[in-house]
Amino acid sequence: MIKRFVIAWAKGTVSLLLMGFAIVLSIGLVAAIGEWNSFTVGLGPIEFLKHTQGESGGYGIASGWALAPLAVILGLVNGLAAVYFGARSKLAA
Amino acid sequence: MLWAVLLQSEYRRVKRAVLDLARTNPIILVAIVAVAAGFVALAVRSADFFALLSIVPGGLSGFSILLLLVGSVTGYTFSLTLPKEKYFDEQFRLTTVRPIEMLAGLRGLPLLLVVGVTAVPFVAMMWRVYALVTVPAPGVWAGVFALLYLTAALQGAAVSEVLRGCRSWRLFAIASSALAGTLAMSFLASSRVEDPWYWLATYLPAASIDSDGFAIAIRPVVYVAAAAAAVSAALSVTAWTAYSLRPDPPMRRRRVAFSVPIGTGPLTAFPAWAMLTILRQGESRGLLALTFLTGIGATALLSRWPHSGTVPVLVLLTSTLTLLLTAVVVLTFSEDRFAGSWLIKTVPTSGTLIGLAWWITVSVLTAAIGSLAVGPSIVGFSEGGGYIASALLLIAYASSTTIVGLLLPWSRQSPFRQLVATVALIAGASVAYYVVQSVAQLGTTLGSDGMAVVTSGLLLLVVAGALSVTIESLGSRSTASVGPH
Repeated sequence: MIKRFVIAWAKGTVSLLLMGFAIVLSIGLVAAIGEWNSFTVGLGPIEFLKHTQGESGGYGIASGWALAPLAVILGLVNGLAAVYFGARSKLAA
Repeated sequence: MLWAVLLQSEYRRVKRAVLDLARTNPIILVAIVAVAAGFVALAVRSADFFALLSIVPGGLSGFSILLLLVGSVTGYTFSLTLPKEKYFDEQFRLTTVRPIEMLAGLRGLPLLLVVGVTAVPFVAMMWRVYALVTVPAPGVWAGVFALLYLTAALQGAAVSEVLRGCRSWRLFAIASSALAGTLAMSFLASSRVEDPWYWLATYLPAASIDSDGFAIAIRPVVYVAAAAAAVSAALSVTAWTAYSLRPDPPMRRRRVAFSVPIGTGPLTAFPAWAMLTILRQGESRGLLALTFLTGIGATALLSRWPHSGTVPVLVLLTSTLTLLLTAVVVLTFSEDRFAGSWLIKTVPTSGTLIGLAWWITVSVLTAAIGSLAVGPSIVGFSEGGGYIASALLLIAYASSTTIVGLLLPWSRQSPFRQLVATVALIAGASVAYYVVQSVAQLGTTLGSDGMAVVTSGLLLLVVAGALSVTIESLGSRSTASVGPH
């Protein structure tokens, strides 16, 4: 059970972090090229992505690091859910 | 209807894989679905911007070509992941299954379904682009685009089959003629427009500037374009089918005399073995070719792209994609995969040496393949040392990614070792990030960004290498402490 939890936690955290990098990079680039209006995506005090109209560049992989705490928490949920579903499938079998 | 039965077996295989993912990583599955939905929304939302491109000479046709190349890469990649007939050879030799039925059920229809699903956002985007640039009957033109996207995907899949080796010369000749026919048709039909690389999207609307300086849409007659696209699609289907129908010979063992003076230690033998295996294995060879084709193809395409602010962004995106592909090539040797597992498990040496050998191997291979693939972009688009330095950083980053692929404790047997590896991975990534940020800021202050970028890349590599060696050492100690029973 511990093994299942740790694997799912690590896998979830890393995968979600990589997805976060890709999402932030893509939206930032499209917003900069397409000259979208200014906007901020965040959760409380943490800003995941801030776009200011007229400013070029500034969107890199580093911008996605603000998602790291969220990725760790969701990874944890992934691990717990994996343990729950694993136990259920064992019971069903 | 044997093909339907085989298609059902493929459906069950995919369903099992999805259910397995839902059971073991439910949040990742939710995230994948959300990202896919977001991508479709972003594609349609970006249509307004790409419609603006049409007023740049060559902009609309250039964008169409880019999407068709995406289709080609999609077909190429999915062709690599489809099941191989050779796994079923012994079973099918005992029954009267026709090769065409086997091909349709196991590979043809699954490929068409996957390509069709990936085409949806692009077709929706092009429909909107054509409507925005007031091309008459945008829905019909979007249909022609969809047909050409399918053609491009099948051509990519056909190239992938060639790289695996076609053993029947008659089928090879038929397939190659059909493939060359599609390209020749497209090339001959494009003489009336001077846009660079327009001949790759010759049946689609283009934009041009008239003598008064206004943008005008140039479009072929819709019936002729639809008919030409249909013929191209039929030729591409023929090419892919003929390449895929190659007969597989019975399995045989070959003994290869290995007389290269590489030494017997793991530090030299492991990199040499990995390099030879990349060239000998079908999947690795296909991925390697895709990496080179992407790097060189992107450079060739972008070198004649209309000059605009989008070129640097496109160069950066394609370079990053190429380097990530490089990492995937080398990752086929990860302990989790089939290629490297037997060697890593059977080498009679310490964990420290195995870790060191692995680090040297993936770093050298990734840097070598990455440099060759991204080299043309560096030569073609470098402005001063900054871009070269950025490319070096990306190469180093890709090497680190590869090593991290080994470190991810997904299939380790010891829970303690998994826990240590996870904590080490998170701690190492945080330290590397902190150091990279500090060095980058220092470099900006000193006005030497290029040097800071190179230093950051090397630091990342060193941190990842130290982690690799430490975890392999830990693994060997825990194995030694258990002892034989």
